[in-house]
Amino acid sequence: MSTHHPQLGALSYGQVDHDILATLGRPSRAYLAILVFCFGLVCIGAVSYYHLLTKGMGVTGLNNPVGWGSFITNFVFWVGIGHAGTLISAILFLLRVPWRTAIFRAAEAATVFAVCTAGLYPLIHVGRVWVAYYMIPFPTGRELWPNFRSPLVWDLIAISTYLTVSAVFFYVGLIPDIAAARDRAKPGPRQFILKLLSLGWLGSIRQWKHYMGAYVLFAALATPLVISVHSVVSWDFAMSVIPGWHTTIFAPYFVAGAILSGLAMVMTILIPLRRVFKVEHIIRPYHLESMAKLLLVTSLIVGYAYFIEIFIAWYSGNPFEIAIFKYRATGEYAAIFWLMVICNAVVPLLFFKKSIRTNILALFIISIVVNFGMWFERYNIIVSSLAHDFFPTAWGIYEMTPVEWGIMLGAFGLFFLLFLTFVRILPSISIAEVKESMPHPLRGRKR
Amino acid sequence: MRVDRRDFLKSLGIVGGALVVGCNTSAPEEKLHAYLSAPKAVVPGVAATYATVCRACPAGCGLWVKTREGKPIKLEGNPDHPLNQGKLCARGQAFVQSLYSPRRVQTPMVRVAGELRPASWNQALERAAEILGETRCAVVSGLEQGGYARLLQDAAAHLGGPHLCFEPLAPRPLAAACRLLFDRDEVPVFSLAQADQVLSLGADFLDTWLSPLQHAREWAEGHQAEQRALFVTYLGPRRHLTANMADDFHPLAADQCGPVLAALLRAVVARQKPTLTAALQEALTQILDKAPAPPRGLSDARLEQITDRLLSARAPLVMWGGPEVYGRDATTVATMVLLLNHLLGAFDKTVFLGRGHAWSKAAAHATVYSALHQAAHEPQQAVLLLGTDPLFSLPGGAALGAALQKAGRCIALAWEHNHSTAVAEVVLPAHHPLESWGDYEVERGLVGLLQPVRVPLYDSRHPGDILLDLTTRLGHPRRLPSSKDYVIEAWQHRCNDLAPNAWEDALSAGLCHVPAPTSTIVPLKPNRLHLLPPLYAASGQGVDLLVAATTLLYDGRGAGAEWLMETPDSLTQCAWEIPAELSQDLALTLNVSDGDVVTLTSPHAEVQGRVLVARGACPNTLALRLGGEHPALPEEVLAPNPMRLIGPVFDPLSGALVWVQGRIGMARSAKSTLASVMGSPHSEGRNLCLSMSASDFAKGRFPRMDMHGEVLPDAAGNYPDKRYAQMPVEEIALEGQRPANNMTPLTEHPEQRWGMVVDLDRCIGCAACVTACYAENNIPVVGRAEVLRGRELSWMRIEQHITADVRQGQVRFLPIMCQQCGQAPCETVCPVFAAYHTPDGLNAQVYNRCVGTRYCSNNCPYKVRRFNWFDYPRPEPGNQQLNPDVTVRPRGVMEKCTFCVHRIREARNRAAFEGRPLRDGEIQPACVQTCPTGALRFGNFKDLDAEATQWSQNPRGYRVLDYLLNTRPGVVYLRKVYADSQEGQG
Repeated sequence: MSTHHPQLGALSYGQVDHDILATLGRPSRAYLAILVFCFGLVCIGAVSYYHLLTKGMGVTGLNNPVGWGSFITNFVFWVGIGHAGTLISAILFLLRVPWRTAIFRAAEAATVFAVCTAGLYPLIHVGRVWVAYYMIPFPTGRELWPNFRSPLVWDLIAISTYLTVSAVFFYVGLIPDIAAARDRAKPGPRQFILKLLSLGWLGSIRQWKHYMGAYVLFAALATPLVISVHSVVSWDFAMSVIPGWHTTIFAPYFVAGAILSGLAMVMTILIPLRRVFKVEHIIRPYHLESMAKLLLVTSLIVGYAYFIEIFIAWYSGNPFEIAIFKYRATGEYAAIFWLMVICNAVVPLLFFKKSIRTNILALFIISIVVNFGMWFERYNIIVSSLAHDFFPTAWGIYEMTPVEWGIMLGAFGLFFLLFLTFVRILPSISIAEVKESMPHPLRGRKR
Repeated sequence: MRVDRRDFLKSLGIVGGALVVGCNTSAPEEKLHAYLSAPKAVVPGVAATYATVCRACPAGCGLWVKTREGKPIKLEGNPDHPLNQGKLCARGQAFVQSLYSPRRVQTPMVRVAGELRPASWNQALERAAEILGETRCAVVSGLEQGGYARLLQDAAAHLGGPHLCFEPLAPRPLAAACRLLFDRDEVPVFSLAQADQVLSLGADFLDTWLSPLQHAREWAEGHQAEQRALFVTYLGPRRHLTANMADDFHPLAADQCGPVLAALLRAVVARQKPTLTAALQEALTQILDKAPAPPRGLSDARLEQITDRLLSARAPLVMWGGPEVYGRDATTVATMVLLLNHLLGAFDKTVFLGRGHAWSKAAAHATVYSALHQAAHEPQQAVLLLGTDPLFSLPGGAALGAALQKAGRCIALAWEHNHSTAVAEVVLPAHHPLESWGDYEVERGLVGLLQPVRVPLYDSRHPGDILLDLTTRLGHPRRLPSSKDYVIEAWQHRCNDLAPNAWEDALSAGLCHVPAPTSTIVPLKPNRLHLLPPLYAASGQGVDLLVAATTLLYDGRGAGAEWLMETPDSLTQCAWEIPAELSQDLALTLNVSDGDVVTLTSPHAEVQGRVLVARGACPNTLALRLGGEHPALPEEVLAPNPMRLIGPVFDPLSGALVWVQGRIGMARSAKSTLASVMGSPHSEGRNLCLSMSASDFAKGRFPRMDMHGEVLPDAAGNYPDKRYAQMPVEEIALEGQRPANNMTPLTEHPEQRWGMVVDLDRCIGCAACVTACYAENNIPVVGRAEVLRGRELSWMRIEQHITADVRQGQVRFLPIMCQQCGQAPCETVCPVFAAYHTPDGLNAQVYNRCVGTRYCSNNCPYKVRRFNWFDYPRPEPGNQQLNPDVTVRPRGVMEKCTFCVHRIREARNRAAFEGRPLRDGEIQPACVQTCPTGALRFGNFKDLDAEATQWSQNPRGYRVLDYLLNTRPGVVYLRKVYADSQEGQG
């Protein structure tokens, strides 16, 4: 079968079970320290948000021309991170790509937690969070509905759909592994919870048949969402009239960027994970190299988008468009612009060289560089366009304040806190699928 | 225990009720009570309007005070007053803030052991009477007229001193020149109503000079693009609003006004020699002998042009004045001005004597200074300051203040704490003019009446009544029982109206107008001209210091009103900033740029200020605005008081302060930032603020524009590009949308489409509209720190644009408010319909529905939406000014200009109630109502006969950014028509 993994020949089913479930064992001190650190970040974020909530949006650096700043930047950033998981687990599943099996679980988890983190940002960002529910379509006696022409309402629907489907897909994929964990758990509350979550999974042929059917169905359902969600996010900008935002290229550009950032984040997470949990024999350089190739492709697309945006601005002859791209490259935010170009479109080109894309340390460093680059990209697009739009007299400058830094750190802390908790509770590599991808001769050997 | 259903429900009820009661205790209930028996003329929910007189400056415009439930909430111009005709300037709009000032004097205070302590009225009056009993006391008030002035004179006579009307900007040199030439101690009335050629030398007649609102109104009448009858030439050291609006502007050093006038006089004499009388010839010789030097900084050709224009004029007018040009030779120059006007035949056309201009009564600075000096240093002298603050407005005020406090012979009657109350021995709380009876005679025969428009806010008394009380305590019998009686007496004397309800009628009209004596040309009596000093030229090292009075801050008193500090000055675009304006050449030499802090040194003081590099200022000048160090200013406003840099030097002939005293030293000291509300003044070819030359206008060559710029038609009126021919003018001007450009259905406006026309040709940048908007719409004041962060909340702004056609550092003004787009970018993006389109064409903003995503603001191409970043405090008593018809917006919601939707709705309801259609002109948003030059017009664009609709079809019309975005704005702008380039300019 094409899904057979070429390099798992030396492993036994029992070893796979053992090695992966070992990740759920007694946590190391380092793990606990990182966990506490992340929790500390969450606390910083919570305090910052409390300050924001009680004082008002004025504690941010936002002002009259720049109504969106770090919150929306982070929102788009996290939604983008949430792209790799479903791409890997759904699209690559449907395409039967062999290197998916070892990494998709972690990627999916990252997706769900990233989208959860992203979902907080619109709530942090609005001026009156206590009436944010007005944006949800629900019937009332006043017959007031949200404005379905507003991209923000599309966004709400797209993100909540995406979160629901990815979460369900994630959970469905987890069922056999939860059952495996349940089987090894000692009696107690943990076993009870795992029993509940495993939905009575026994691994019978009949269950497997239904399970595989459902899995394909969800994969097919999730696939268009991967494309749609970031397209809709991009329309938040593209549907406006602001020069630098109002561009038809935004949907594909954003989707490619999202996949780029998602892959980079998965890589950033997996490289330490495989080392800490000693699963280097399961998540092998081969997997990482395959991801690096995909990252290279998306980086090329993003680089092309950067170029074509500027080209079209020049080609259109529209002075407003020309002015904004000139401003991005030379104005107050020029450093951000050039960092964005270097991190996202130049540095990943190193992956053309095999020795670099197989070097774990290089992969780790470049993945982090791309993460930064993608954050800069969102910041660049959002802030610079607003800072210099139609009326030169109304131009203004935005800078992040400590409160915004605090909330941003809190969000990173939250994401890693959720992820770290997850890898301790449930298997972060799919036991069932790793086994499935092992070569034939090993099947039937007794444990 | 068995609990049945009934018991359960009972206990639930008791517990629930207890919870409700318990929860309620934290927030005490506040109740609104309707009047049990409403006072006459107070209908809850309906505004009552009272007429009175604006006392924000000595011009004395008529006011309509809008009160709600007994509280004044808004000041509007009195439409029947001949001076302002329903218009009001920014200072007039903000005058209501001084009523609710947090610095109001609330109780009588007496100095005990060096500190002012609250006292009872009786104690304070006793102490004051004690001082007055031992001394001769000068009464120093602001400029007062009529019966109230009579009362002050009577009181001063009882107290043994003079009554002095102190006005810092008093044009004493003009009055002195009048005395020398015509033997009349008065300030002539200058009127632009008939003028066709105006030459102003330093007189900022649109900003602060004499009666700025009247001048602005007359200027707009004569200067309109369609029938331009007026040409203004401005020569002066600084580019203020007047200079900026001048058709011909050239920077001229302050000390060069005299030589220029001499040159003009010589040229005029050369042409008129045979017709001159002997008296005139003698006067001319006396004068011209004193001015040997030819003017610097103005070419001969230029001078000749100006002379030609004046000589060929039908009704010429030469104006001169203002603190920027009052030097040691001020009386000589003023005499030249009057002589030139006389020779040009301007008298009785544009300059009027014998009208008894209120300004004539303003005392000489020297007299006031010496009264204060005597009170400070001579034990037999005291001074009674009445609502005026000479220690703030006179040079050497700090030293005088310290001496006065030590001497303890200063009594202050004031409604606001100021520099003078701080040193007074006794401070007595006086009524604010809006709480007082009074009268003000602007010109002979034009009597404005003041009436109290609210119950006094604090335990204050009418200053006249306080004086009567004091003189009574000193044993002088009262001629009349109260100040109101003085007012009525003067009114009877002047207006002599015997109709039964005459007094009530006059009160409700706010004025009584008896025809003024027509002035005749007064014969010249040049018998004392030999006294005049020669012209004086600046010398010495350093920078020329100009003391500047500005539209918003006037003589400095404007700095006391938050609105006036929050309203950005149109020329500096700074709010909460009184910058040191440096000419461009100086900025280069000193290597300073906007915001740098400089230290200024003169023999009298050393102060610090933030630099603003002023375009179009005369080289080697530094202008400092009056208003710095006002007690109301927060510390972060680094604003020096220019009066500290000059010394108490007075012109011996007129007694006027010598404002232009010489040169000061300057050094750069630190970096800082100006609180500017402007991004960049350069339009970058974006077709935002458009203008056209007078010759193109005369030939009907109206440019059209597209993304790439403006295109002019050829001589036959055809446009070189087909696209322009396809777009008829009507479509640019009229409501009518291009269906081909739309994806969504067009918005229908069945009955009304409210629209505004902004005539850029008339906008002088006085910012009265901006201040009126603050007053009308409960817009919070955010302060300097927030302005620096770009968070000012003004719904309307006067933008400054530097476009390719401006010259000599001039700028164009573009008032921007919500454009009420037919296809608004803000409406589509709001997720909750907080921004939506009303059937009458407004972009409504529903505060209750707003979630605060700020998407609408991002997507607004005009950037007119404002977000409430915080809950802004509205402390007592300022909150009493809030307009109950307009929601006070909470934190987290977006707001913007509504075209004063509450006024629209009120008028519509009234019309519906009366069963009639809405009348054109019935609705006026606050900005339109107050605009002194009539640059704003409002109406229903669906009504083709409406005035605004007519104006919107003017071929000068365009809609900002509509050519690019198809937003179909409801605001039509009319291009400015600028005078064709003069020779020698550039």
